[in-house]
Amino acid sequence: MSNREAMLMTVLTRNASAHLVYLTHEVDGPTLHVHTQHAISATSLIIPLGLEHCRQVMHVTEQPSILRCRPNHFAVQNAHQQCQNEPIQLGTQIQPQGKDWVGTAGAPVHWLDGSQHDQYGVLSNWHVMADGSNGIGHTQHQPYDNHPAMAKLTNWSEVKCCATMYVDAAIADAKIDGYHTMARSILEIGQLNPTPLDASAGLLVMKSGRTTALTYGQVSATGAAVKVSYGDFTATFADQIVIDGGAEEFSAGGDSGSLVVGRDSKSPVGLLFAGGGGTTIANPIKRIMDMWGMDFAV
Amino acid sequence: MSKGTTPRQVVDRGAEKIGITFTEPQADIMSCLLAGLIAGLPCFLEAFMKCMAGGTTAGDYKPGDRNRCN
Repeated sequence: MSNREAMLMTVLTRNASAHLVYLTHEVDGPTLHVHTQHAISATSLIIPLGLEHCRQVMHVTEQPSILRCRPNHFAVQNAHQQCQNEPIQLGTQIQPQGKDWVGTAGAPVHWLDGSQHDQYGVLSNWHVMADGSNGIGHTQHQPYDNHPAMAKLTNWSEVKCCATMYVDAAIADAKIDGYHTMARSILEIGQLNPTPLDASAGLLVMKSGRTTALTYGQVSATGAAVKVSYGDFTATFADQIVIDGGAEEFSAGGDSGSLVVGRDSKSPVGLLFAGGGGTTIANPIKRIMDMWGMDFAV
Repeated sequence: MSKGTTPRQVVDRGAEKIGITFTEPQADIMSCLLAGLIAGLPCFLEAFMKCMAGGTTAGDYKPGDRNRCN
């Protein structure tokens, strides 16, 4: 953990009411942003050494939560919620067999299995494809279970309440009965530029997701510390990307698992997993790529 | 095509890692020559080089054309 990460995590944990903390670099110096659910005075904040000279800005916002939803929570409103025949474009809805939620099958990815064989599959979140599942091989469907499987859960990074987390990610093999179910493109975005892009404040981004379809936003901060509600528990994440959708919401329930890409480059930037109060949170995509030796299938 | 492998635990950066053990390639020149020959003369060099680099000539992306909605 870098020194800056450690300091932001300290602000988050020492100030119980804070749920999102990040630094921005303004003309007049570094600014510490602290989001809380209820208004508190900046003077009541407990700030660690190293950040005490930063300007402090308080925001009152809703705590971010994971963005999956019930299939009928939002009425069918776009092509991202329609069943597709093969090859299935991503940025569309996915549901683990036997579960009552949906999320987004975010992006086409490639990795090598234990025998160094090429594998092609779907990238989404742990809380979309794996949470409470039966483990490896758990089938993923276009809603509902009576549609044939489009992928089988292969690997995941479990999110737990009481440790510092960095990613909420899972991959599922899309080869079913000898053929791949998925296209190597994302609905409304098309083919990706497979070279990942580091997020930076001000970067213009977009995502294609199950509920709000194609939306545009801007990175407002990187390296953020955030507490995310998973319903049954709260998880604490470090080194996250914060995205602002401006006048329109960048994401809503059901968009979890969407890939955030550069608006001009179509390069992968982050994996969307939480949001609320006008902000969207994404894991840095390079962490996930490094963790599994994964790249993007184009 | 056979190829020797050595198990290696993946280092997990801060997140819990479950289930999968990845392996690191140990290219064997005879099996790579065989891989190149199987791929045919025009593709020999590409298959041979890919195999020697630890890649594989099997398991390419094969898009389906099946009805998934009825």
